[in-house]
Amino acid sequence: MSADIEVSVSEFVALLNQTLDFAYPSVVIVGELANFKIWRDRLVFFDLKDDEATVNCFAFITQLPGPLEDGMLLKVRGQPQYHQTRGFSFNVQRLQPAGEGSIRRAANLLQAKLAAEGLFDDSRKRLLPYPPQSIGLVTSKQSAAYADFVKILAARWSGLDIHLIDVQVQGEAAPGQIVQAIEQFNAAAQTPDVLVVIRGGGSPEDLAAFSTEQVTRAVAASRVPTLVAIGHEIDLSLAELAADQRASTPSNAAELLVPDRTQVRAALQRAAEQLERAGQQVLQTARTAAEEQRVSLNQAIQDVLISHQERLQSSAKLLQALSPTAILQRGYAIVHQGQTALRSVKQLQRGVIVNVQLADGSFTAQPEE
Amino acid sequence: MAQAKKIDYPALQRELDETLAMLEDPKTDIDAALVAYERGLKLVTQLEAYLKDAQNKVHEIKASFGDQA
Repeated sequence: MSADIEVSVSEFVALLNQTLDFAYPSVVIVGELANFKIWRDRLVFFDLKDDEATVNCFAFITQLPGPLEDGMLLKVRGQPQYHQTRGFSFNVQRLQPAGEGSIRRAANLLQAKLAAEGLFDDSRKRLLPYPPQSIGLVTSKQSAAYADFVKILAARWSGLDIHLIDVQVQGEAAPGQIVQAIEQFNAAAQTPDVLVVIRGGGSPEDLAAFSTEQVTRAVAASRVPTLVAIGHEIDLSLAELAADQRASTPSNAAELLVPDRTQVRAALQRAAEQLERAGQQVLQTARTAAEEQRVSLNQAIQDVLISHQERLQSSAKLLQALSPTAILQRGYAIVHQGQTALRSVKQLQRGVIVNVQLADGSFTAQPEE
Repeated sequence: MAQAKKIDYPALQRELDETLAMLEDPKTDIDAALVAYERGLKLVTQLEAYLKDAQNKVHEIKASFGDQA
């Protein structure tokens, strides 16, 4: 039989904690939240209880997934510890709502808080570049959501530069990885044109990461415009509310992001045809006008020429009529004495020879009397 | 064409008009009328040549713009 161990109070507490550490390095308790208190905006004290028992819990405010209230069912991972002065407490490592009702209630509380801060305001929404050239994609590479998204993008559009950061989209590590991926894209030297966060359908717990405060705030804070699609049409995460644009599913995200090249090609074809018709019409009108002007121009220059020709012909005819030699044809004669044409017999001098010109020749004569 | 450019058509036209007026004037003596008549014929020839050149030039210009009309 062994002797009783005698220890001091401090030694007992140390011994007890060693034993608890060894026996329960980490344990998950599911229970109802009660007596929830926040001390100096830093420390959180609350009880987890069920019908028969109550456990005191301790956490830091940064460990909270969002606002909580008494009555919620919580799933708390932590470690039991006996504090030297305050007695037993369960030190929280991770805490999240459990059960559909509590998850929804917690999400509603967080939504109300973030909405009050304006994170979901329409005035914050930016237009996504359409289509973008580069896409920063945050999702799980193994997921069907990723495969669907990439397949539909490739079917609709080409030449896209897609950068994936592979993250867990559910589980404890998911929120931290998603936030880190969003921040990494935003900090890149060359940021993508749009940031896409997608995840396929799942249970409310599976989708919970996208309604955590940290992921929602990261989406809201993104400098790069965001498109978020989580789960199915009926699922609405807080990250989607904070995003610049929401898509109902990952496939729908791909459809919203880029146009369908066949539709674009058809629209371009229609536009080209319309343009050509309009161009032809303009050309035809111009051609007709030019032709009319050409005819007018030709007519104008011909009119000028004809007018001058007519005037000239008229002058030539008049000139012919006024020809001095035409008179000779009628039997008249021109009498020259020296170089002077005589108009009167008084100009004649006896014995001085004159030249008499008729129509067909001339002769000399000597006036006597 | 170069020759046509040297001719001052309006000036020649004016001179022809003056010549005709002179021939129409009964006081013009026969010798002056003969000289005027000769000058008038020369002017008519020059003006006809000018108009013929002008007509040819119109055809050339039209042809250079592809108009066969």
